[in-house]
Amino acid sequence: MEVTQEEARQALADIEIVRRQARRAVAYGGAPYYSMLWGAIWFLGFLGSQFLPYEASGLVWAGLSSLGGLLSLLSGIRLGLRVRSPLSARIGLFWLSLLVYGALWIYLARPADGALVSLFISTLAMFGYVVMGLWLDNSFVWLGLGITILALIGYFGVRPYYSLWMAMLGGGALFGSGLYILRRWK
Amino acid sequence: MARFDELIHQPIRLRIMAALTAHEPGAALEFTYLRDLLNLTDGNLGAHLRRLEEAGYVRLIKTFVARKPRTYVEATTRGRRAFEEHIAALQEILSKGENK
Repeated sequence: MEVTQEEARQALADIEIVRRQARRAVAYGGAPYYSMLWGAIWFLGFLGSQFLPYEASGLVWAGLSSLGGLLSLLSGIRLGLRVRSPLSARIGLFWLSLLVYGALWIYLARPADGALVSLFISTLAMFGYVVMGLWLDNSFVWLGLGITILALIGYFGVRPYYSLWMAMLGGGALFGSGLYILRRWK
Repeated sequence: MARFDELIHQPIRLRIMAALTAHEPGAALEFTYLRDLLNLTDGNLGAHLRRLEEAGYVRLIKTFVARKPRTYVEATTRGRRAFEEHIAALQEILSKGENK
């Protein structure tokens, strides 16, 4: 079989395009929905922390986090049915480990400062984004670092309005990035 | 010299192997997911997968999820090796032209 250089070039280009699409389909398969879901949860939860009494906002956070966890789990199972890979299982275990780690330290440290707890949870979740980015796509690294910096500025710079700051900027950035990814890769 | 593989070089089979080898060894793609990713019909994808399976390049795994049958497709070690060889052969064709 005689293959010209042009045909070889075209075949290599086709291979690269399909490989990129296949990897992207996994990397972004659930990412925009997770980001938008948790962006909306952060927005509502932090608004509750800013304006509701401490106990009521705790209940709001508990309800929203449970709902978010359940929807994330169902979405993860759905994605796992499309691509069965050792990496998917590792990603699931990584998030589960992060959750257990965070819960353990909150239980052990029992900080009285609610804002400090939310700073810890927010930055821990963003640490997860950074690690995911190192595995899958650099844009998650920048998103994770960006929101971590915003959270630190909010905590140390505008402490009385920290929750409002996080609702608008943290929740907004998560939701916006999900929407951006969805529109960009559709 | 790398081995040019005529079976793999067929455009659709080339794309199927590219999609399967985009993931790490051991990863398997669900049939309908692969079909949608490559914009193929059931019959077209099925026919090309049979050719690749006969060559020992892919493995079809039939299973049940929530009582519904599902088929997963995985590139075998032999298939991955053949595909990498084929890519190397294509690169050789390109580089020969550039060195002229």
